[in-house]
Amino acid sequence: MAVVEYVLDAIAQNRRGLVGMVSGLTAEQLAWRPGPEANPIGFMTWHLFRFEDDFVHARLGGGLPVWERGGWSVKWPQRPRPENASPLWPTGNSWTPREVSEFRAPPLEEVLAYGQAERESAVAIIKTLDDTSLDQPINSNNPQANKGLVLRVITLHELEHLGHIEMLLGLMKAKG
Amino acid sequence: MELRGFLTDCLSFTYQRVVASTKDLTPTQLHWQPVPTENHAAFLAFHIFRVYDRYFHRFLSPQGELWERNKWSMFFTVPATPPDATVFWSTGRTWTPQEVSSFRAPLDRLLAYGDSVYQSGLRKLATLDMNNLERPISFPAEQITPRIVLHRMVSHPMQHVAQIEYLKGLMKQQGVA
Repeated sequence: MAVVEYVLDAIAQNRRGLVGMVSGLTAEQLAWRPGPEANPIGFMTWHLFRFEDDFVHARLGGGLPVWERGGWSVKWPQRPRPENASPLWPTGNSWTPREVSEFRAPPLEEVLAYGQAERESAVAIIKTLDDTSLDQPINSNNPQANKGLVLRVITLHELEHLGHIEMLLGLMKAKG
Repeated sequence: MELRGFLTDCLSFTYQRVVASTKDLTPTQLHWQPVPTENHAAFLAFHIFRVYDRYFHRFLSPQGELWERNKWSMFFTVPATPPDATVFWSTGRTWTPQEVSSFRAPLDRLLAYGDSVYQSGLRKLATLDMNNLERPISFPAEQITPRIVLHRMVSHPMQHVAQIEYLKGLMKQQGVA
């Protein structure tokens, strides 16, 4: 089995798990936080899609992310990127608890539609890779940062937040 | 990059995250639950390692789990096996909230068991026949193949280590020391 085949299987399974967990949640449930510094499910879901979109398109050479190309950034604008923030900041990465609390959440069906669109674009890009291309560096200053690493991040990042969301659902259930 | 190398990287990354997320926890933090129905960090790490053990030493090789062969159960306060327990039960799967709450693990033993399973697992992965991933594995409870195991080997620990990290965030907010 090739790495690309494995990754495509894995991210498809991850996405089915995510959509299954969040579908049907109310706006209140999507915004619920067990503490002032904890990320809510709605924010994490949006962040997962935004991260994959920017990360794959920037690292694997697919042009502008779907968020910009598809007009989503105009329809659901978020706060401007602070000075000196990392390039991944617009995806929700490293946001402070206050920034998360001020997140302008699109309706869930819009978020899921965006997620589907960015995933289709990401898959098309990943399908252009083969195992021999995965050792190619994406950053000339860091030979270890290669296309294989991008696929590992994409595979594991969604799983990480799936774990968080599963725990939040359990906490919500326990607290009624 | 071949699949074996990719999976080894994923396995190393997730295992190191489990160690990093637990190695400085106090006994109180290790067994803290935000609500009685949520798992604590000690249980989650134990469950990750037990499932690794099953994947590597039962599903991907016939030698048997280290948990039994090396009698690791002697070092942990594991609840009594219920009479109706399934084959999954000894890995922590399907434990009741009461069983999870009663589970106690000394951190050094927990991490030693994890290291033992991980190091052995790396050796299994290094010799696994990657051209025969669709063969059925003999297991009474479900249909499983090496291909399925290789997916779960990555997805299962990553989700649970994220839960340990989430618990640590909640403990920090609540001042649990």
